[in-house]
Amino acid sequence: MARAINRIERHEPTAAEIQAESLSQVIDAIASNKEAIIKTIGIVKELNDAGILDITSAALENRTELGLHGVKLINALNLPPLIKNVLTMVEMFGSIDPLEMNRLINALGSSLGQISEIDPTNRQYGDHIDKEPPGMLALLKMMRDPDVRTTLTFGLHFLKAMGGELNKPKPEEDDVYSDPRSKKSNDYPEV
Amino acid sequence: MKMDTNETWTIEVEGRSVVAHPGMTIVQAVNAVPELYIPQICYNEQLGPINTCDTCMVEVDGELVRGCSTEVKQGMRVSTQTNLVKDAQQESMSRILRNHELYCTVCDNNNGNCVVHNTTERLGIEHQSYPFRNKPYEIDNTNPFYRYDPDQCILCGRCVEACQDLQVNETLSIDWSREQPRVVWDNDVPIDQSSCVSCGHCVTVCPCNALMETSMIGEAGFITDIDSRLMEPLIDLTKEVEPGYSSIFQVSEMEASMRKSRIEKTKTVCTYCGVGCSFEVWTKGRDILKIEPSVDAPVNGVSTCIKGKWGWDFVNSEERLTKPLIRQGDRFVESSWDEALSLIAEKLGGIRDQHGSDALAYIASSKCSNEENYIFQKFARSIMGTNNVDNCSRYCQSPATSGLMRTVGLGGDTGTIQDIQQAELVLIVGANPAESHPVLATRVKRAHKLHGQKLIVSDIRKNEMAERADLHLHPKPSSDLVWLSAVTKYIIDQGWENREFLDQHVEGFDAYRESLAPYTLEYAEENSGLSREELIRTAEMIHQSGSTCILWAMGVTQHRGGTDTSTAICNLLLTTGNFARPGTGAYPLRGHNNVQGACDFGTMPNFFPGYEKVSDDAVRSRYEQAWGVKLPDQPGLDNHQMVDAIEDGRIKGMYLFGEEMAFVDSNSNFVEEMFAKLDFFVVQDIFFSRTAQFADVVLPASPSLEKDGTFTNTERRIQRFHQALEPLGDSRPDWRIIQDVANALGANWNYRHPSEIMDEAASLAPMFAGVSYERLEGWSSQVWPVKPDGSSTELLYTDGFAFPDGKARLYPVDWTLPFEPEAEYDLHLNNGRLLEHFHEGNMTYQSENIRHKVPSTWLEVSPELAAERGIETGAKVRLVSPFGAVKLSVVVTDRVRGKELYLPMNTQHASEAVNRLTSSHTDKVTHTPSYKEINVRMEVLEDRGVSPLPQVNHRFAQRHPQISVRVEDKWKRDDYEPIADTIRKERAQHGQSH
Repeated sequence: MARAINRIERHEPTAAEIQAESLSQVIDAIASNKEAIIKTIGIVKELNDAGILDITSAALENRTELGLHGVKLINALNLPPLIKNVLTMVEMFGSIDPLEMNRLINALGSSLGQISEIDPTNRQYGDHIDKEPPGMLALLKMMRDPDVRTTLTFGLHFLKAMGGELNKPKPEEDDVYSDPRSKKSNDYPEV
Repeated sequence: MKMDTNETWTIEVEGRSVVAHPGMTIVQAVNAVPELYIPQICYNEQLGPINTCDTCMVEVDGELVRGCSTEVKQGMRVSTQTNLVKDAQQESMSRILRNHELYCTVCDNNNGNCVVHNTTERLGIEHQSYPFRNKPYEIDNTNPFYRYDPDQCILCGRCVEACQDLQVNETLSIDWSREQPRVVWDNDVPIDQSSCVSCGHCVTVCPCNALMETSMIGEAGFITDIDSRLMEPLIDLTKEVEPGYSSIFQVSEMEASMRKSRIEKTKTVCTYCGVGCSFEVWTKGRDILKIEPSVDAPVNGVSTCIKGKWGWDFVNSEERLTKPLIRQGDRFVESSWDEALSLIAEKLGGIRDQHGSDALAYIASSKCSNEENYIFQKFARSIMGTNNVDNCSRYCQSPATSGLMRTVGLGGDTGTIQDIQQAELVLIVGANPAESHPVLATRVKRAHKLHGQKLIVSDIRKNEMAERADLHLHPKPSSDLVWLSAVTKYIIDQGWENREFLDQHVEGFDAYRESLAPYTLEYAEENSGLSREELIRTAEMIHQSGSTCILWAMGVTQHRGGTDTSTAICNLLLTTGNFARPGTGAYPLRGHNNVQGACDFGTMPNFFPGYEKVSDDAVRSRYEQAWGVKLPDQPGLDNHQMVDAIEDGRIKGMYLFGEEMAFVDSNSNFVEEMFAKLDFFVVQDIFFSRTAQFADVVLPASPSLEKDGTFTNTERRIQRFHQALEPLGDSRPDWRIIQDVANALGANWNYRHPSEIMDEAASLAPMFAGVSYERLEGWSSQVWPVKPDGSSTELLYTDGFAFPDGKARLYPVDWTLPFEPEAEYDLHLNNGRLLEHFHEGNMTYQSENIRHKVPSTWLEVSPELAAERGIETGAKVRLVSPFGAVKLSVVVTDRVRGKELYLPMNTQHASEAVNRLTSSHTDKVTHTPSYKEINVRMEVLEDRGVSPLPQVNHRFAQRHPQISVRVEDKWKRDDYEPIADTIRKERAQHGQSH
């Protein structure tokens, strides 16, 4: 005969038991990671001595406030354009063909090397050095040199391409979506 | 979408030949080729084309067309990569991103499956042509399960399509008439007050984070719970400095990859009804982040109901049993497993030795797995030497099984949900799938709304399906057999029977026709209360339909003539030739997730697994050989007989798992009295149930999320579920506990995984010959009978019926008059389930959010009766039957009529439980309690009071039906310009041409 009962004597673990259980888990973990833990303690000690733990803990405690101020500071220092410029430059450099870049840098390096040997502002006639820069005729004479002509052609092409870009219409000030394809009107559709 | 799959066309896409079928769209054809890609944001395989997002533009003959809705033509040439297409993609994505801010790294939807994120990234969109702007609407957080953020909503309309045309609850729409359109609920009420049933369809199909599970917010990401004061400036800052989206996406991709290390995604199968929805459960530690359905799930695809999508809080309930309990005097004391197991071995073994094997009884669980049911019947039969083993199908579907076995041979649905979906006519008798089998109901509602399927519902209550039906029959209670037979007789009298089918495939037509003689239209009018016109119209609709399915459930089976009425249904289907063809058949809707599997795997007193009789010598010797013991050859006792056998002292001990028998068996006062008489009682459950209060030992079990196994749904489909969580505390999976108990009694079993149990069952039961866990990996499933090569049988009887001669039997049946109550019990009490809660609610009441919607049960009273008794919604009444009394709060509703009451069974309080009122009368054949034959009298305690159902319940709101999202209204707006026009203008401006 068993009548319905609903009293359950649950063994509720005491605070001490829960603590003992947790402690034994912690000790297990420490014992099996002895070396890592000892090294970590060393690092933590240094961080504490250097006062970094104090700073970190204060920063973490106030992370939302701090984050807000951080964003404000970034704006106050006008950093967004800087960050964007850096990112744009990085992208630009990333888009250059490394082989071309290599050729250009090599050319630059070797020409710089030659410049260090001569003073381009002076003209040398045998042992005699004239203190005047070369005259127009002398410059025209230098253009006979195929190397000089190559460099000049290169420079002129560069200037042409740059001028082409500069002649394009300037993006509007408030248009952060400065895609050349973006619409000129503010009358955007809603659907 | 109907396709003529016989014909094959070839189209050319990006120079590749792609095979397509007439009727297919470009996207459907291209999606089958992994190397090709067409972006698609609003298109979803299950929802079909919605035409709102315009990202799927492709070029055909120089023109831009939508790939999602343009049908293929033979030899069509499609380009997906031209400049024109790319310009169109940039334009359509810009329109989308105008409505959606890309803060992916701090978004909880950034889990690798965000459609908007992935499409933007895949298309290499670097900048948007239109700036993002907020919409002038607040986030709607009123529904506790999910939120809607208009600012993130891209207006693709997937949610609306899912709500209107897949779930067919018809709550959501997009209001295109506003300056800034948004999704609205009903006529723009807060979500919580709308007709939303919280099924989760809209949230599941949302391609971004506009609709999101509340349980995900601030939980899924590593840095998504940042204070909103900081979040907004950070998003602005990021946008100000970002060079282009591709680099930002790399950061969000990294974050999404990190999430994989802490969010587990595990496939599981729902345990809330017999439909068998499968989905992933996402967990973080023990927290359930969300349920994520997939179009690949064989039964439900992206569909769920409120319980399957949100009802899993119980897994972490503090009320879970975590240690074995042993009765000591007036209390239960926690014990170790060893103590509990040795006590059980001593007591059960003692009763067996002293009183014989048949003095013990075993109750299995229709909520537990196939493997657990298999191992339990093996324990009862081979270790304990008795066939006294049964499961709760005895309370629901045994009469249907019996009716099917009489007529067509096998006790299962004759087809799958696909057949129900494609039938021309669906007839539902005594079932309310909209609440009891919600996802199955969606398929009927969709076919009825969109594809011209006809629907007849016979129910004494005007439930949702009845509201939607072309014809709602309201017969007198317990008279279904009468009108079904009259309709069949009328069909035969008109010469509408399927002569050819009857001649070739059916035995016993002449005797059957004679047995129908009494069921004239006049007789049926008098006894069923249906009119002559209704009966004739029903017959005509069946006659005119090319394919008919009949669905039925407890409204048929839980009567004294339950088996006979089930038989009458099968007779009607046989007479009209509605078997063994797609879109036809008999579908008893299984109530619990594994009612089918529990019966299939042998927890029945007369059957081994696969419905092979225990009295069959050849079968028995197969099992005797495999198990190495002598097995009992006489059928054992069923549930009902077990309770009677306790009363007369033949049963002394019982072992029950996963079943709340003290609550769900009829005449529960009597059942409880019997439990109290047991010498020894073992109850195994996840909660301390009412039944457990009578136990001597209570064993803590693990629910489906904490174990591996398979369930079999109402379609006979076997599906695998995987362990998502560790068992809580000292709880154990049921299969392991049963093995532990068996071993304590000397079994010496060593099953290490449920797959080993399934392998054994498959090797012994021919019905499951080819079932194996390897074949059930991922979303794969198998529908029995499964041949040794693993192939399924979706549609039964295409090679003949399951009798030796391959012919079905027409089985004459007589009407069992309903129980005649004494005059003082003047009201008929109908009872059943409701959408929000499962069974008596020990799982679903653990969800605070579900309680918010439905905090308790209630009694439905018709307006006529309420007026007569002078009561209103909120009144308190006592119902009294000859067997007991309950006290309930009233909801007055026209869902019920006249003197018919409705009482949902979902309560944990004995003072509200319907089975305090039910009798011990049963179906004549199967002993299923006749729960539906109760009359009561009603005593008014208070004539008014607080409504038991809060105003935030969908039952008080008005649906807003429409077809799809009405994209035409979008196209009619002044500011809408077709993508192709925009591109053309732009190109003219830039002097380009294509």
